[in-house]
Amino acid sequence: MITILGGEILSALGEKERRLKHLSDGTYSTVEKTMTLMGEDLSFAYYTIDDGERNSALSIPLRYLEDVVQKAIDKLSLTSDDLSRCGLFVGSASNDLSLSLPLGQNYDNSQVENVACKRIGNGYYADHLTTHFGLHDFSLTYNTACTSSANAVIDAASMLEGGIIDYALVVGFEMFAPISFEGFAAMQLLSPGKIAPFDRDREGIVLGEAVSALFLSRDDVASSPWCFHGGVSSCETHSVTGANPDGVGVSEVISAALKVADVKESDITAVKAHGTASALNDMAEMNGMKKVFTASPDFFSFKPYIGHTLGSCGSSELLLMLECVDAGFVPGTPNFVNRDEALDWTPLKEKMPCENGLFMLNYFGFGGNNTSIVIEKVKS
Amino acid sequence: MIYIHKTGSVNRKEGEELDVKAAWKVVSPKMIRRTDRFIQLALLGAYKAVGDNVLDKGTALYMASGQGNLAVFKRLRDQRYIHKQPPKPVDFINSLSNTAGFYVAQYFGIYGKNLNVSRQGLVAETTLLLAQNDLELGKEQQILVGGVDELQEPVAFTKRTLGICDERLLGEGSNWMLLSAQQEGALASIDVVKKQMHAADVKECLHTLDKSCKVAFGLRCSKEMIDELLDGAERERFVYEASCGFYETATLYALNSFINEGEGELLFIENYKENFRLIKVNTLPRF
Repeated sequence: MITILGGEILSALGEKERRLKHLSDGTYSTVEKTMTLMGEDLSFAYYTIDDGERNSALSIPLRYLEDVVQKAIDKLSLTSDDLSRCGLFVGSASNDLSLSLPLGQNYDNSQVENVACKRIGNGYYADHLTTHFGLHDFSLTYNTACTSSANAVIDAASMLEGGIIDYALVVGFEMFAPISFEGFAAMQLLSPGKIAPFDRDREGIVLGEAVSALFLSRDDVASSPWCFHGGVSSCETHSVTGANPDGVGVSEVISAALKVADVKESDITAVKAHGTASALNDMAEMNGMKKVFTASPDFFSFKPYIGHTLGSCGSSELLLMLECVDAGFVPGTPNFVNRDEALDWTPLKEKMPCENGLFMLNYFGFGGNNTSIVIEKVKS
Repeated sequence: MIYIHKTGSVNRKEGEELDVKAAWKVVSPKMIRRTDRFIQLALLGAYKAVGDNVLDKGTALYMASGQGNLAVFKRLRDQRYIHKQPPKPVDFINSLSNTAGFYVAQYFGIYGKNLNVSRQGLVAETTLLLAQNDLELGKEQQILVGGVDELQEPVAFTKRTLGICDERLLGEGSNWMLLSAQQEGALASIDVVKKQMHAADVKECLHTLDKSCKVAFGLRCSKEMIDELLDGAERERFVYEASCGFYETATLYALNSFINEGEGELLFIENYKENFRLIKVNTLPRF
């Protein structure tokens, strides 16, 4: 059995005590980001990492990564021997800054001689973390858009099951990227105001940044009340920008996840929806759930708390799920006010008491990538 | 044990010509408009492997790349910083690294797991290890594994960012293989050695290796490193390097070349920062 040991997250919710209060109270905070698009000044809400010392020592991505992983290691009391048997699975939808920065400066091809002859680019963060923490040689960096770190979790579990590694570290990483921000705006996918998943008047996505470190293992190596029952990832080729609104692709991946986890839909205690608040994504997700669940399960979205953290949401939202249930509740969905007749089912508005159970976590992304995971917290 | 059922390669060495768009247009003129050269390179290589065969709909696709689609990132950079324009939607979408995998899946009508993975060095070896593990555990029945790297100008800049500090030529390629746990109809068996190795382990492995097994080395193995590993032992080499410039996923080109040109057993050795991965390939009788 694959065990989920826990970890650490850096997000707009701040330190653990504060983020649990936000998640319990249904509150959050955003900042305003502005941009000029086609000569027009626009501003959008954004969920920025709240580490209490922004723009100080931790402002460099590598320092964020090191800090989050170190806190997770400390929390779990992992030894250097444990880490030497730990593979690394990084999920991110961003271009690696180690290459994109010099590429950005080299737009006129004048910077050739200024670049050191040293491998940079994709995999740089993973390589750095492997060396810095003395991890096992196995590492991969996943970029499957919004399912990146969720797919990393599935493969981490597979490599643990195969006995190739004894521990797995899944890192979800997404920080503010101007091109990405403007790309979403140019596609008119950003909400001008708040993010309201599944609400009748939802207006789109609000982006956010998060860095999370999640450790997994096997029960013969390290026990935990949390276990990973299984997960499935699939690619529906209806549209490069997302799932088919008819929900067929979503229902197929959810059904397959239940099958590999060997559980019934009626066994699911609550569903962590992807819930981006984009009109078509919420439609696809709801239609997909309706094809599998005979009655509406209790479901909610983390997006109003930390924003859509793209490639990081897989591990970041999984970690928040662990923290909430460990604290005795499943969160509500802030900003949900009006039922959408087309969607019919409505998310949890308020938190729901919950100390254990089976949980489904769903993630859907660009490239038709759909991922569904089933985890459980057993009664102590 | 897992098996290679189909292979296909597109490979170009720096200085050679390769009109990917024209080649892909012959195969699928419909799939040109929204795709860029990187995506077309992925499609063309996958087509070389699969051709017009129909794949099982549940086939998974694991696509590896050293640096991904850098050309589209450069276009987005130019749009933002030089032309002061917002990202063109088609470029923004194509900048998401799994877009190439999406179009390959769409072309072949497959709906399985679709991954885009990268790594600094050993990206093909690590992706093959992941695929082998998933097939051995029965999590997947069939996986289309590909490695796609596009040569970027200016070459001198690209070389430095790849950490290639000598005079060798760069290259690009799109190399694919269809893997399954079923032996029937396979071209070869493949075994990605699970253990991570250091030079001493590799030396020991080479000394105990059957004499009939050929040996090939990855493009990150220097001549000095190869001499040190062989330690005077005479091994029959499989040489593919003359037709291949450096790119991160060239390992798949080497393996495909051996299966297509050679016969027998091959031990392929590659390293990154002196951590070694070994792959054994054994061709099967073809009827």
